[in-house]
Amino acid sequence: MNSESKYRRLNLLAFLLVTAFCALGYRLVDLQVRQHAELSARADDNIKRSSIREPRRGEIWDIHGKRLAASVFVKTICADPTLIGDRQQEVARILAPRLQMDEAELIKKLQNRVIRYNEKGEPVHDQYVVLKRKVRRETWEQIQAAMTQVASGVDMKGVSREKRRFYRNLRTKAVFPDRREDQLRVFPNVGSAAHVLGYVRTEEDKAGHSTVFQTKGLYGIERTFDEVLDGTRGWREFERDSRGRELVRNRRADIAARPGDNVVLTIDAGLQYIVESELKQGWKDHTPLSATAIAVRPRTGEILAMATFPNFDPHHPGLFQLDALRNRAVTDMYEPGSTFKIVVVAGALNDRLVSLDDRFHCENGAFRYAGRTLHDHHGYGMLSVEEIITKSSNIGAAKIGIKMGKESLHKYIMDFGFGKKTEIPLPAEARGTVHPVKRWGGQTITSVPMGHEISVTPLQLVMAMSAIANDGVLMKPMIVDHIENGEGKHVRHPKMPGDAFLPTEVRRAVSPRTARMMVQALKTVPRKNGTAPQAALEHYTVAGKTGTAQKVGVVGKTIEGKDIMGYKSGAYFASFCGFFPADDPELCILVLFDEPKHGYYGGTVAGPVFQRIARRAAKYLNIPPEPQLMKELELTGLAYGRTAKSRQ
Amino acid sequence: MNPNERTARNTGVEIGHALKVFCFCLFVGAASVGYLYQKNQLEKLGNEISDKELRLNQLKQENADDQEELAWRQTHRYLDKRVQQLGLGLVEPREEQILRLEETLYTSVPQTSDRRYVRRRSGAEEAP
Repeated sequence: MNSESKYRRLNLLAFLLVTAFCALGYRLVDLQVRQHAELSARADDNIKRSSIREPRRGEIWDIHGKRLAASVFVKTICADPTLIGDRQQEVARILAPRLQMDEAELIKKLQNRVIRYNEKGEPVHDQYVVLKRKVRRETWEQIQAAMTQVASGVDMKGVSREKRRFYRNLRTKAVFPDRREDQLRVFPNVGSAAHVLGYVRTEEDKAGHSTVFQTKGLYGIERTFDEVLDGTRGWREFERDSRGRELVRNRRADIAARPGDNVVLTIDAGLQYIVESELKQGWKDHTPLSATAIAVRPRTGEILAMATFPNFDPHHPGLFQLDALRNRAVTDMYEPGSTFKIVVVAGALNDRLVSLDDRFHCENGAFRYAGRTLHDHHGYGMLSVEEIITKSSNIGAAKIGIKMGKESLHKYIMDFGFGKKTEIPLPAEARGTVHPVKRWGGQTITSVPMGHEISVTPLQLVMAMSAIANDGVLMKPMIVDHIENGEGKHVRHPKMPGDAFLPTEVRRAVSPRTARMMVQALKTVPRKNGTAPQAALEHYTVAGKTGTAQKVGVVGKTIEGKDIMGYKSGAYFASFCGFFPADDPELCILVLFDEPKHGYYGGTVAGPVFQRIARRAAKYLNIPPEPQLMKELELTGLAYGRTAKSRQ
Repeated sequence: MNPNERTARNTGVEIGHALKVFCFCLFVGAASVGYLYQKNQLEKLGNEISDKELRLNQLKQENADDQEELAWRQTHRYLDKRVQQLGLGLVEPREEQILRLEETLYTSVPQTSDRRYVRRRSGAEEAP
């Protein structure tokens, strides 16, 4: 071969190589430049993934740090019926006991079904069937283990590759958990303080291109503090390999979720339990339509317990009637009856219109005023102001009201916090009904002092009684003590001012002198000659007031068929609101029954419940007994085991 | 120059070149193997991180479950039930069974509330 031929060949080879490189270069430019956007998107679609990292919802604690509501991550169990073949029965048999579902229902869900037809007219099968939501992790692990045993009797030796793949998919992929994280709200105390805590619902929410499970507070603290409890979502962007495993080295972003903050309530779980168990006993004894009790620390306005019956299980609020879901302590209004006499008497004492020793003639039980006759339960003659409270004389209270005048009475009603929301951070709080003076009728001045023609919420009433216990200062009710983050540090939220969770004085309703006189008068109520001897305690002096108010409702029909409203016979609100120790109050408690059976007087129905709650609460809160009473008991030698009755 | 002499000299040159090429290839090969080894290590460590993250999540969940269990076992309802089940006969102490020390007489109110209250009240004026 001569050199010319050699060079020709070399040139040809070089030409081919250059051409090939040019072609490759062109292809590279084509792929990397011209088709860059499209191919890059396709590549990203194949390997890039992002996942939302759900924050754990904050917890709700009692004042001692006991968990009242917490969240655990759970799974949504799904199935791909196309991978199950004809083995529905076997799979359902495995799943049914673990998911606590009916086997027949599961078989139905596992059936392979066509959901639509594609452009080519081919059937598209449903590959995502939700079997059960909110399944705990342990249950999913059990299911996973059990599914590996499906068709375990099949000899795989002589089985075709396709069949082998089918069994592998059946065991590992046919039943799977949803990728999205879901949370289950857990209330360890079940129905305890359910109305305060409220309940939640899980909703599907959009987050970028994907949907996530979002827990939303619907009632109670869960709703009011939803933004606080709800944390901030995190996310992760990563690449995955052909087997779907994450390539950790190529992780692009990894932002951790910030869990929600914890809300610490003023509620004391121990006291709440005491209040609820005693209220439940009263509920069983008197079978009322509803029963409510609130325990407040008068000096600070902290609510230590708030209970309402009927109550509900916050895990399954949908199973209960709407009536049971309502927190009657703040949403319901009622005519307070005689408990309202504290307002008129306190007002008159504060204006120095009367003193405790001033005497009023109680007309022997029937007093005609503005075309209407007022009655007392018993006919009384001359009663002092103190005795008007002791005996709960309607006529006496009405006469004090007349002496005060409309404007002054209305002012004190407002000063004690009635007719306005207390601004407790609980949803649907009612403001009560206090008519302006210009709308008062001729009889109103005698009706209001005995708690008629006015409506209040149980919370307003207990706060008014607490004001008397607190030297005349009305406090704002507190249900939240503070908010703290996961590290235990107190946090502030933009919507809440710095002192949002500090005891707050609303106003001075009456002077300390008046408050002391009122305490003196209220101490006579739980005595033998008072209306609530059964509310007395052995080691503490109780000050309180009974209330027995006839309910307003439909009492008949007009000829046209319209409802006639009036006071229903035999339907009463029975209540007792009191505090102890009377001269250094630690706890103010309201007990209220709506339409109790087997008795209806506040003193006999609500009084004993108050007494039992107060006795147990005193021990629980370690309230020292009053030395004076202890001394008296020791001197008489009957000290222990003696009843309050014998002391009287 | 006889052909044998030329062959010998040429062979000497080629061995030198070959050695250089061999060294170069060895270097490239070693670098490649090293690179692959490092990549493998990264992959392995990535998987380890992934597994550890999974384990951490699992432990966190177990912790949350245990806390939930503990919270339930600490509820008064559960404790009351257990006391009844076990027939422990526990009752509330009577007043004479409680020994109170002088200095603890006024500590029944949680101190935080008291402090806050005192702070607020000390600045407030009392109406006549």
